[in-house]
Amino acid sequence: MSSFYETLETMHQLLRGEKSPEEVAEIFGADPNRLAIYQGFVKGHIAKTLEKNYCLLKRTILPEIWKKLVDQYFTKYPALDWRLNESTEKFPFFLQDSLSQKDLQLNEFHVELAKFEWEEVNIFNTDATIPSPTQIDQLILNPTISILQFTYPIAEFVKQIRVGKKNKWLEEKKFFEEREQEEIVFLFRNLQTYRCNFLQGNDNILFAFKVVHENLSLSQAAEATGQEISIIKQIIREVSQTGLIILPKNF
Amino acid sequence: MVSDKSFFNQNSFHDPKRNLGFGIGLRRPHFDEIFTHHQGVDFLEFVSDNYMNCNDRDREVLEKAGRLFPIVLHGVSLSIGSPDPLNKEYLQNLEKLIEMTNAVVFSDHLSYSSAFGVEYHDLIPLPFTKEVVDHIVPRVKQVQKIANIPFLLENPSYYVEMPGAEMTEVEFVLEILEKSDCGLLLDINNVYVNAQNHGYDPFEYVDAMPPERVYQYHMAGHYEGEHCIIDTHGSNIKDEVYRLYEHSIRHTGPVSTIVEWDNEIPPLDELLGENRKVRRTSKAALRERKRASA
Repeated sequence: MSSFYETLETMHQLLRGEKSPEEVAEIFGADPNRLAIYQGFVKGHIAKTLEKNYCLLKRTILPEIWKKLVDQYFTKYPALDWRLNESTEKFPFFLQDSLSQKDLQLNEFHVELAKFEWEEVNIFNTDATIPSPTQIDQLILNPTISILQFTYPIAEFVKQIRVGKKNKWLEEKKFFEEREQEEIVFLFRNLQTYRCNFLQGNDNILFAFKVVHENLSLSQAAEATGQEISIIKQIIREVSQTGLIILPKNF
Repeated sequence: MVSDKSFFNQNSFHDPKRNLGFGIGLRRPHFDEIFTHHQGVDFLEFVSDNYMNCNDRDREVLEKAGRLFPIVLHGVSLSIGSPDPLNKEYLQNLEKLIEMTNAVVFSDHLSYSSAFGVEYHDLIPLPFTKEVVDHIVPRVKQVQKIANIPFLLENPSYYVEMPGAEMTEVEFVLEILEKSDCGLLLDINNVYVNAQNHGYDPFEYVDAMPPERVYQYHMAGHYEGEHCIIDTHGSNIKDEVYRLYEHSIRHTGPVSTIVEWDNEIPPLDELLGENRKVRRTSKAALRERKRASA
């Protein structure tokens, strides 16, 4: 084994937190305080990225528990991707696996919220190109779309938190109450603002989604529902205002 | 010595890509403003890693920037010194990005940021040994093949000297540059920070670099930490760093210079102010160089 390899292996143990700066300082004959800088940087990058990508989740968790989660995630999921964001992708899975760890006080709500937040990051960064209405000749779904199903009121929670006003629902932590039926949430990037939008699936949205997804003509949709074509068209036009569906210019 | 066959020979002094003027590292908070407010900016640097498989907003910014300015790319995740093979996917993405942006130069650091399959997302120093030189040289040649534009290595800052050094930092850098026929992105702040942290003369370091290999400069701010000076890219450039830059310009002649500001990013005006100061410093140094050689 080469000395180069050995040096990098020792550094690896330091950077992964497997050896303390003092232990490595003894091997290298170096200042432990300076070695600690590198250990702090490497873990700090992951900690900061988790904080950025899961900022809402962090607000629902006690600081000392968040720190434990970051420590455990860093240890159990070494970063395998050079993209920092991607290194935090597995956080929702990690939370799911940690549900049985009672001291972390986690429940499915936290896992679902983490899934939502990761999907927002993913959608913001996707390299999918959203065509403009002039570039298409038929109805299409926004190509950045992602559909998630939740048993907790995740979309409502995100909406309330982002409005930024205190309210009874948030204060009484009603969001921890499981719903009777699963909720469908659509996430996608807006063509104009480039921001990630989300919509709770209601009858009109689900209907418009089905029409476009299954490539139904307006007359087929009208026939299947017993509605006038003009009503179908109106629903699709309304849903398209959200950015979920993109209409051709001549629609 | 640099042979005539080298890319970085006497002719490199006349290569326009070596003297693009005075640029800034374009970061996200300035995306909107830069296209209407860019007095004194001759070219832009983009951090390559942030634009590989990027979203359409970033792609639009890159395309627009490419129409207005020459573009140079600067990476942080190539991990040239890693014991692992170079990441093929990363290289393919880099190649595509160079093509898409029509970049004129690309660069990364003489360090490593991953090992044993794990990414550190930071620049970790290498031991200054012959074994490491022999390890890195063929890897640099592999990178040089991905595009027909100059590839540069940057002297990184480091807080700990790895054990087993067989040569000085200067010797290590020079040996790699010459054996791989690679250009140098000389980060003046890093020279200053390393000189303070490891007790050497930064002016001697700069003087030891063959002028024809110095193809780009970085200027940035640092922070005086408890145990050493930290290269933060998060503040104004210190006067001592300007003095070293002035000295280096007298040594190398005019070379493209980029102001980097990655943390605590200020309003664009402040960044442009720093860019103007770099330009003034360079011009003054060149006048003095001319006087001295007359």
